[in-house]
Amino acid sequence: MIVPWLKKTWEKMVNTLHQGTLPHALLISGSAGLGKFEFAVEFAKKILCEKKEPQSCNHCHSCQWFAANSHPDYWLIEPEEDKKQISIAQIRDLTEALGKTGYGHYQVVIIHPAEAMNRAAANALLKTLEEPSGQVVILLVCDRPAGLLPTIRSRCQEIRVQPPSDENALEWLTSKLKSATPKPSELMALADGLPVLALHLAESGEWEQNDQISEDFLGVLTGKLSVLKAAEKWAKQSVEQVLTILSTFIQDLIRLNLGLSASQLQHSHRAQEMQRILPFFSLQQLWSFLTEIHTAKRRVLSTANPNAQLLLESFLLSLHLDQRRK
Amino acid sequence: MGYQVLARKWRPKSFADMVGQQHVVQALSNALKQNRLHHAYLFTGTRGVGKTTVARIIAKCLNCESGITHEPCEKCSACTEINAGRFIDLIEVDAASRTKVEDTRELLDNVQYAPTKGRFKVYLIDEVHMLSGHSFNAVLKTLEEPPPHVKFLLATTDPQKIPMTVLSRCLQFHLKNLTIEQIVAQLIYILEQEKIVFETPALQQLARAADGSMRDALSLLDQAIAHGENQVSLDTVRAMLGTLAPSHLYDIIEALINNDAQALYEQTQALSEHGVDFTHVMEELLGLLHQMALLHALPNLTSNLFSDNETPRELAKKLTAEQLQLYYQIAILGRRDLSLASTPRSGFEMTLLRMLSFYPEKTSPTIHANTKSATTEALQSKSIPASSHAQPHKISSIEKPTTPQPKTPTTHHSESTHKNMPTVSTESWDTILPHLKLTGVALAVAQHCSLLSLTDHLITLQVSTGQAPLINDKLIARFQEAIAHVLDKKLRVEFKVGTSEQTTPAQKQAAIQETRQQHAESAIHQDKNVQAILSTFGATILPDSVEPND
Repeated sequence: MIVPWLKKTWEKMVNTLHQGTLPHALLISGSAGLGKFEFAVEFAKKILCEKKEPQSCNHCHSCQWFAANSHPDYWLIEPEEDKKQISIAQIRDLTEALGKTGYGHYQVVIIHPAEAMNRAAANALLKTLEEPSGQVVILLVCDRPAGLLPTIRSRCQEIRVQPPSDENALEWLTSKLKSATPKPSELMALADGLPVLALHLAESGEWEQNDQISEDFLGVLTGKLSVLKAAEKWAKQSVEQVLTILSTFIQDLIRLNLGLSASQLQHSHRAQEMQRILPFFSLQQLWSFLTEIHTAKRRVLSTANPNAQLLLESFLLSLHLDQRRK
Repeated sequence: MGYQVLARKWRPKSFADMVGQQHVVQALSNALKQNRLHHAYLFTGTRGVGKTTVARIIAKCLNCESGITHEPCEKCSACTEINAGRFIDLIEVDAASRTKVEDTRELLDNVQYAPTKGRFKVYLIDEVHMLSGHSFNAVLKTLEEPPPHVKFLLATTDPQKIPMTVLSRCLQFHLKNLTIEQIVAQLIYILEQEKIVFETPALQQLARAADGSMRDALSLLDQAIAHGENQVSLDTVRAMLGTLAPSHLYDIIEALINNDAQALYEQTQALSEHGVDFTHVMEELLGLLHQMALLHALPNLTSNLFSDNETPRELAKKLTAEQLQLYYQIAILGRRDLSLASTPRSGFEMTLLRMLSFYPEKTSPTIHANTKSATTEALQSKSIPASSHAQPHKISSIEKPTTPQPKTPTTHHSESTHKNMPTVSTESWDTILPHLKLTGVALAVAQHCSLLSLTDHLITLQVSTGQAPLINDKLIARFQEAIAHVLDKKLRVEFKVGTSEQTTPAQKQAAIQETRQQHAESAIHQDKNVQAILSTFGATILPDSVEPND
C-alpha cells in the first residue's frame, strides 16, 4: 500500500512511533500527486493500531474500526462538499472533540489539504497545534507549504516528500496499470512526473477525456472543428480542467518552438501533430494564447461564476481572431 | 504523558531561562520587585520568540505562594499547577477559536468574581488579533478598569490588527527576533542536556533557517534529530532543509544569458527531483534578480543584505538593465500566475521560457522612436537559432494589463532632444507638443493652443476663451519648465486669449477623427454584404454604432 518512494519515510516514522518519540504535529509536504494523503491515512491507521508491528495489523478493533470508517479517535478534516476552504467551524468542532478522552492511546487528526484552511481556521488551530491536550497527533498534508501561515509551520515538524526518480516512478506505475494503453511513459509525462496523479488519470478514465480535449483543440487550431461546437462540447466538463489541458497543450507548442525535444513534452504522444501545426503560429501568438487561458482560468476560479460555454467561446474566438489577423 | 517535542519540553519556566528579550525581562522584573504592576500587558513579536512564555511566567510570579516576586519558587502548588497547565485562576483563552462576541461576554461575566485560589485572576488571551471587532469593543471597559484582582495578558503576532482603543489601554512589549548566536547557544545547551551528539555548523544552518524564531529552531532541531537518528550532523541538516544552493539559481541565469532552453528544462527537472517548493524557488529567483539589478545600478555596492555578492555581480555585467527589469517583471507575473499553472513546476518552467522569449528593444537614441508609446514597440521576441520555426516578431505586449516597460533613462532624453530640435517655427507647435511631456490639465491646455510668436526670450501662445480660466501661475511655470527642457533655453511664456487663425493640435485631431468617421460610415454603407442585409431584412444602421477600425 505504501508507495516505494515513501517506504523509507514510513520505516522512520514507525520507528519514532515505537520509540515513543513521535511529535504531535507533522507537516507532510511535497507536490500533489505523490501519494502524501494516502501515506497520511495509512500512518494514522498505524498510529491507532493496537499491535506493535511494522504495518497495521488489520485485525485489532482499532484497525477494523478504521476500515469501517468509524474510528472514534480519528478525524479527517477536509473542505466540505462543494467548498474550497476548511472553515473555522470545522476547526472549532475538532478542538472541542479533542478535549475529550478517546477510546485508545492516541487521537489522530488529518487535515487535508492544510493550505485550504482559511485565515480564521488556521489561527483557530494554533493553540491546539502547539499544545494539544492528551496524546494527539495532528498530520497536516500540504502541497504548498508557502501557502501556510508561518505560525502554523513553526509548530510542526516537516516531512518533505521528494518525488521518485523517473525510472522508479515509471516502474511503479507500470506495475499498477491494468491495461497497456495508454503507455505509462505518456501518462507520466501528462502528469508532469507525478506518479500517483498519473495512476489517477488512467484509473478514473480522465485520461481519455483529456486526450479528447486536446484532439478537439487540435481540430480547432487547424480549422477542422468549429469554435462553437468545441465550446459546446467542453462546456459539459469542468471548465477549469479544460483550461488546464489547453494550457499544457499551448505550453508544449512553446517548448517545441523554443527547440525542446518531443520527449520533453507533456503531450508527448501528440508531438508529431504538434510539429505539423507549429509553423502556423508565431511564438508571440503562443504566449498570448497562454495569457488568454490564464485570464479565463482566473475568471473561473474567481467568485464571479461565469457561464462556462460563453467563457470558452469567447476564449476560442479570441484565438481565432488572433490567428486570422496574422 | 508521551513524548513532548523540544519546543514544549524546553519552554522556559522562569525569567532566568529566557533567551534574549532582556529589555522585556528587565522591565517586568523591576515592576514585580517594586510592585508597580499594570493591569493589562500586550506582548507582540513574530512566531516563537516567547510571547506566551513570558505571559505564563508572569502568571506564576503573580500567584506564587511566596508572594509577588520576579523569581517564583517553583515548589508551591500555584507554581507547579501553572507549569502543568491546570491552575484554576490562570484562564488561558484561545482567542482565535473563540472570536465571537458571545464568547467574550461569557468570559467577562466571570471577571467580577474573586480568584478561587490564587492572588490574582490572570486572563491570558493568546492570538488576540483574531478577535472580532465586537469582541474587542466588548472588552474595552473591563480592560480599562478591571477589578483589582484581575490581570490581563494579551499575546499576538499581529499587533496591526488590534484596534487603537485596545492598544492604548495596554502596556505593550515588543519581543525581538532572536539572533543566530542566541539560537545556536540555546540549541547547544539543549543538546548537551539531552546528551545528543552534534556538529556546531549544523546548528548554525538550523538557526539561519529558523529566521529569528526559537520555536522554528527547535522544531527543526527535532526534525534533524529524527532524521539523523539521534545525532545532528551538517550533512543531514543540509539534506533535510533541502536548502536551495544559490548555484542552482546562478545556473538558471547563466542559461538565460546563453539563450539555452534545453539547459533551463534540465535545471527545472533537477530542482523538481530535489523536491523543492517552486513557490519558494520563485521567491528566491526574484530576490536574486533584485540583487542583480541593484548591483548593476551600483556596481561598487557592498551590502551584507546578501550572502554572496560576487557571482551576481559577474552575472549582472552580462545583462543590460532593461533585460534585468524585464526578467524581474516576468518573474513577478510568473509568481502571480503560479497558482493558475497545471502544476507549480510547469508554471516555473514556463516563466523561465518566457524570459527566454522576450527581450527589450534597444531604446533608440533619437527622440522620434520614443514618441510612440514605449509599450507598443518595446518588446520583441527573440529569434531563437535552435528552432527553425521561431522568427523574430514585433510583440505588442506580453500581457495586456501590466506590460513590463523597460524604462529609458531620462538623461538620455534631454540630450537627444537638443540635437533634434534645432529650429522652431511658428507652425511647429504640433511638433514641439509631444516632447513637452505635459500631463493632465497642462496637456489639455497645450492641445488647445497655437503658437503666435517665438523670440529668444518670449513665447506667446494663443488660447481659446474656453480654456482661459484654466491658466494660472502654476500652469505657466509648468509650461516654462517643459519648454526650457525641450528648447534648452529659458523663455517667458505668455498666453493671449482669443480665437486663433491657426488650427490647434486638438482641432487637427478632431478633424482627423471626423474624416475617419466619415470614411468608416461610407465604407459600411457601401459594403455589399451590408446592403444585402439592409434590403433583405429591412434593417437599419444605427448611426452611432459605426466606429473607425484601427
